[in-house]
Amino acid sequence: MTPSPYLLVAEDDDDDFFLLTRELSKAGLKSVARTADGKATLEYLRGTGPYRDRAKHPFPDVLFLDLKLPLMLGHEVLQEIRKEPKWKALKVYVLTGSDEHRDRERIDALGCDGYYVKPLGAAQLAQIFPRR
Amino acid sequence: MTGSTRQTLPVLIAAPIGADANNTARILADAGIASEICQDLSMAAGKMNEDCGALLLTEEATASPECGLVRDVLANQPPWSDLPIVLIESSRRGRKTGNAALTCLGSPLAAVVLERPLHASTLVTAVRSSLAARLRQHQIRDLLHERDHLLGSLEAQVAERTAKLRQAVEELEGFSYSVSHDLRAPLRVLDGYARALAEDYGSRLDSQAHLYLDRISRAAQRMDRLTQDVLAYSRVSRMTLSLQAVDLDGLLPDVIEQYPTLAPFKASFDIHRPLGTVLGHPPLLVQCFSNLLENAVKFAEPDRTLKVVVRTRRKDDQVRIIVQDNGRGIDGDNLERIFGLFERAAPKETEGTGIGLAIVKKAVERMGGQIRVSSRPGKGTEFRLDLQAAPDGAPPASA
Repeated sequence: MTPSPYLLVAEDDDDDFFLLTRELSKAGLKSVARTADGKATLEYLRGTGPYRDRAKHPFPDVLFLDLKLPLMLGHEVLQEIRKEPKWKALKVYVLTGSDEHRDRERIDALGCDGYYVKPLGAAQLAQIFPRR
Repeated sequence: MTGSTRQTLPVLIAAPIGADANNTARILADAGIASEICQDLSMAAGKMNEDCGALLLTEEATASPECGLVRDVLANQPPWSDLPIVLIESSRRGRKTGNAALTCLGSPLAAVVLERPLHASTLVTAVRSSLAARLRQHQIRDLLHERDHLLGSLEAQVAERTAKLRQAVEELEGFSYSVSHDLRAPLRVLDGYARALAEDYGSRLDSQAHLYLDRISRAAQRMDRLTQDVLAYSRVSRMTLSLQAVDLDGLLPDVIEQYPTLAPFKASFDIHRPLGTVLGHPPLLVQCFSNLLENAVKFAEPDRTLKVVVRTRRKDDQVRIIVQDNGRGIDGDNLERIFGLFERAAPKETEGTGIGLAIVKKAVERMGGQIRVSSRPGKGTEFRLDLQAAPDGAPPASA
């Protein structure tokens, strides 16, 4: 059995974060870190600022990226991620509150591993994490 | 404007013999007409501007090579201007030479030729009539200026309003983006916690409590659908369209396949191919078909197997799309209302927001078509969408 992937959830809304982690935990995914804005998300990935200590803040396998983040929008975060070749292995799943055409076009142009309209349910999680 | 203009317009006098010029100026002054003596035609040409009332010259003056300068100024007047010329002919034993002199000036139309010997009253009358004509020209000039000014301000107004309208559209788009993200967020949370409560604490709740949770969930979901439908309606109303040839035979199966609400009923849809090609906007056509077919599914008669026939009929440059079901049908009294926003002709317990058909109607109208409906309660409903046929040879697009 492969070890449980380490997840980073970039989500500013406490309720959305709670409901997502609840679903994740039901699916057996319990290694979850959280950032609440776009800038902090990039800091986390870069291991800078409050996230210097990699033992405490391991680089994630999977990023759940909300689109409407404070300080820096989700698609801007994704844009930065795409510029960094060493983050190529990072799986990025975009979560959005509403399926807006413009959002999807921007994300499609950057490329991601999945685009989901909230809430993320058991069915979608099974799709993202097929039987580990 | 007119009074003051009349007083201030001077007559330019060009006569090579100083005595002639002075005499003429005096006669005009006696009649209350201002004048200005020019030593030669080059000076006259320099002074022939908008504010000059007329040019009075003797035939002798036109013999000068500088006549060309005056001719050029006359030829290059603004459109409203035709400076009156008063030419005093020289008397050469009865030979009329005035017209030849006018030729030197480029044959101006607004010219009077006066013969010698000249009476003072004749001169004054001719100059007055020239000045009156010049005054009319100035009135026309002022009107033209006024028109240009109005046009300019009209253009500025149009530009300003266009900018405002564009800003309003941008604000509306921003607003609908916020609505779609921010207004829906609490509903998702409401529904999420109600489900979590039912799942995590379900064993401690009795059936009544479960019923309440179910109602909370359903109300939140309904509000969410309403929000989405209102947004879809506003999007259909304001989206930029480019009508193109759309192959319905390609588009319709995709709609049925891709909509989770339709795919399970695939066997109920009887599509009479070929449907043909219409002039439309693919996303709007998808919206029309999905809403109409979802409606047919929603209002199926419970005791009958649902059957929905989709066919088209070509008439001249129009394609009529017919979507006919064997569902519950709509009461005649309600038939007109079904295309209105938030209007529902269905019983209260049927799911729906009352916006779907309003979206279809708006979409069809935006593609330059129209929609009609007829129905027999208990038998079924038929929607007819008239759209323009794609011109022959136009390459069809799919959704």
